Amino acid sequence: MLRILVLLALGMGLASCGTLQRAAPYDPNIEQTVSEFNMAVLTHIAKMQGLSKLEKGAYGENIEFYTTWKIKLKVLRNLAIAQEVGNACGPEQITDDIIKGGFKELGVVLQKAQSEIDAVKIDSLNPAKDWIDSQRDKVKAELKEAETKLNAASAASADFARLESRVVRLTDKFERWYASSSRVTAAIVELGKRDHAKSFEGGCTTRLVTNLAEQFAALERFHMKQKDLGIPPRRAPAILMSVPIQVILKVQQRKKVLSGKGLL
Amino acid sequence: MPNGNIDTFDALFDVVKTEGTATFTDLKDGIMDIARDVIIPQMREIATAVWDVMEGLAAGDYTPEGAAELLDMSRRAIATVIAGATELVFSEVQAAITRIYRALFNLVSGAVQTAINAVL
Repeated sequence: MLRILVLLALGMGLASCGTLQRAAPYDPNIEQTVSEFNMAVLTHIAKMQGLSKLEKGAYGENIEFYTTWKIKLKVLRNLAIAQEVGNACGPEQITDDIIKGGFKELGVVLQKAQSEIDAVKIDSLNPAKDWIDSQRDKVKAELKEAETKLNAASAASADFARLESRVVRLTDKFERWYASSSRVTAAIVELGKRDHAKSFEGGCTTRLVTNLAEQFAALERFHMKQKDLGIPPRRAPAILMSVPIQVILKVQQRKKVLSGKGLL
Repeated sequence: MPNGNIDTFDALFDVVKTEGTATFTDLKDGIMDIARDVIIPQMREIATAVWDVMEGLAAGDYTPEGAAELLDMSRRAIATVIAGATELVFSEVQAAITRIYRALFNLVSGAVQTAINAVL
């Protein structure tokens, strides 16, 4: 009798593990569609990068690709929701806080960089320029007095010309950095206006597929907001589409292995 | 009830304990693999992308509005990596639980087997 009770208790104890978050089963539809999307979106980005700054590479000329894949990803999301077994995917609020904190830190770094740029602002070179001007005037005055001093004045003028061209170069450099910093700050301000605390329902698989669909929608908005520039031949767009694709494929491949062993 | 091979509780517990320990070791290794193969490489990729956004803005390759979208995509990419790693952990835990259930299933018979079948 005792043995039966112990076994039943053990059985119930293990059964209570069933209240843990369950993982969604392996889904060949997700693996296949995401693999196809992987090829399609990376080909699209590479093609657009080749057409950057050209009319054919503008968003308006390429809407059809976005429309087609938005529908396919929505269908995939609906299938994932239909098969979902979980109702949460980890501490999302904490995750959001970490992510927002990361960008906050970036903002602080940029502000610091901005203040350092301000510190070497061209105005700070004015005293040196005034001193050079006064020296030049002084040399000019002395020029009338002696031929030797005339030579010295010429040398000073040459020095000034060199310094002046350096000041011009520094001014250009400063202007470029100032403009870049302002643009980054504007981008961060724009990002900060968005609501990241959006509530989410469903398990991890639903979240992964939803994130992929939203990432693609963001790529479309990015393309649109790039206006005449289109998608430039840089790394970020392809990387930021590849990350969710690779994660989803990794998850599905692992699930496939566990399913093959009858463990999932 | 125990089947013919197991006649004491200690014998049954030994089998479950052995299976449980091996499963836990596999689970621990599986989670370390997730960190090594998924989280770290993908975070490095995302950091590369954020750096590229900064450089691209300075070079005038991205508009501020376009860069804001890319930064938002970076945020979502991080959230996706975390969700993916979480799902992998859930899968590993579920596989570990299934292994222990199976070990128990092979040791018992009758009503308890039926009960285990219901949760497997």
